Amino acid sequence: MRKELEEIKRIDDYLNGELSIMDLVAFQEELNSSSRLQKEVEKQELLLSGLQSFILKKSAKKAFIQYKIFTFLKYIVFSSIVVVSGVLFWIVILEDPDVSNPKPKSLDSIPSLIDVNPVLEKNNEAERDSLKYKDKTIEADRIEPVSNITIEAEDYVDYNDLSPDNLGGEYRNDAVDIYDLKGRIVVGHTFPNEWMEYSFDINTSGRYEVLMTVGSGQDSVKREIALSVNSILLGIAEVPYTTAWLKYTEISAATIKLDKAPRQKLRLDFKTGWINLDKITLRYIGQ
Amino acid sequence: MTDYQIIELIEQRREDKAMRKLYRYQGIVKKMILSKGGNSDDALDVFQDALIILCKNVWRGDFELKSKLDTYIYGISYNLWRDNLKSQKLDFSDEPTENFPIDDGLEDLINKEKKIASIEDVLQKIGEACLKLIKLFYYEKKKIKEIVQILNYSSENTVKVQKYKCIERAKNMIEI
Repeated sequence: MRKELEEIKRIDDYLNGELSIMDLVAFQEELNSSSRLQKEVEKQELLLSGLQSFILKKSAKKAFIQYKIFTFLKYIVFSSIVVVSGVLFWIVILEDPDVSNPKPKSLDSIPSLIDVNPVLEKNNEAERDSLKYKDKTIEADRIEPVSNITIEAEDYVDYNDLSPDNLGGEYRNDAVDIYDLKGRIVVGHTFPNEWMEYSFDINTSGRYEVLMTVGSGQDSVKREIALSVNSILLGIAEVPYTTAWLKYTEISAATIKLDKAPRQKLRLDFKTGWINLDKITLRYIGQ
Repeated sequence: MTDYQIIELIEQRREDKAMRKLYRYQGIVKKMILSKGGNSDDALDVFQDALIILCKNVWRGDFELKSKLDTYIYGISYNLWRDNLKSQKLDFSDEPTENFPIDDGLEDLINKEKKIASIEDVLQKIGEACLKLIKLFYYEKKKIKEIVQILNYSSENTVKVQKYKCIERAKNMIEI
C-alpha cells in the first residue's frame, strides 16, 4: 500500500480502537507533536460521523413520511368510526318506532308515485276519514251529556312536521309520522317544534280534564309537550318513560273549563322529541 | 411505547421505527421554533437534527435518559435553534426557564453536527460504489468477510485497500 493509504489505515484503526497498546502509545505521541496528523484524524473522524448523520437524515425523512401516512390513516379510520356510529345512532335510536314495528310500507299507502287512479284513491281516503269522524259523533251523541271526548292523535286538522314524508307510512298521506304499532295507531318520530292541531265539539259546558295517552322508549332525555286550548297555553306536560315504544300510559295534562261550542281548537306543541302520542281524551268532571 | 422502549429500539439499530414513534414530539418543537422566528421548514429540519443527535448519543454507549424523552428532544432542538440564530447574528430571547442543562458529550455532538453539514456534499460526490462500501463498514458494521460476499470482491485485502482509497478520496474534499 502507498504511504498515504498506510496512514489512513493507522488513523482508521486508532478511531476504531483496533491499535495494539504499543502502537497506540506511539500514535498518541506522534499526534501530540504533529498538527498535520491531528488534522487528518479530525477529518477522518468527521467523515465517519458525517456518514452516520447522512444516513440518519435519510432515515429521519423516510420516517417522517411514514409517520404522516400513518397519522392520515388513523384520521381516516377515526372519522369513519364517527360517521358509522352516527348513522347507527340514527337508525337504532331515532327510528325506534320502526324497529318495534318492522312492517314494510304497503304499496297503496305511498302517495302519487303509483297513482293509477287518483280520483278513486282520493275518494276512498275521504270516505275512510268521514267514517272515522262519523263514528265518533255517534259515540258522543249516544252517551251525552257527560261522555268523554276522544281525539285520536292521527285525526289532526293542522300540523307542522319536520320530515316531509309520513315515516310510519300508515293511515294518512301527509308529513306527520303515523305508525301502526300492533294495532295501535300513534303519531311517532316526534321532534322539537313539531305540532298538531285538533278540532273538537263541546255539547255540555263544564270542567274537563285533558288526558293524553303517550309512550316513550327513551329514558335519558327530557320529554315535554305544551298543551293549548283555543290559543291559551294550559301547561307543559311531562311524558313518562314507558320502557318501550309499544307501551302506553294515560297522563293528566290539565283541567279546563269549556263552553258549549262546536269546532274548538286543541293544539299540542312538541317541546322535545322522543314522544309517541296515541290519543287525547277530554273527560267531563262537572259544572 | 415508553421512552425506554424507544431508546432500546435505537440501541438495537432499529432507529427507523424509533424515529417514526418520536415524530409525535414534533409539535412542541415546532411551536417553540415558530415562536422564535422560524418557519415550519426550519422546525422540521431542527427536529430531524435532534433525532439524529439522539441516535448518535445512544450509540456512543453509556447513554442515560435523565429526563423525559420529549424534554430531551426539546432541549436539543432549543440549543440547535439558538446556535443557528446566533450564527446568523439574529436575536434569540433566551428565557431562563427554557435553558436546558446539556451535558458535555451532548454539547460536543451539537457542535460537531454543524460542521457535519458539509460532509453531506462530500458523500454525494465520492460515488455510489464508495458510499456503499463505507456504509457497509461503518454504518451497518458488517464483517469484512460479509462485505467481500455482498460486493463480490476477490479478497478481503482488496476490500480493505478499496475502503482506504474511498476514505482518501473523501478526505481530499473535506476542508477544515
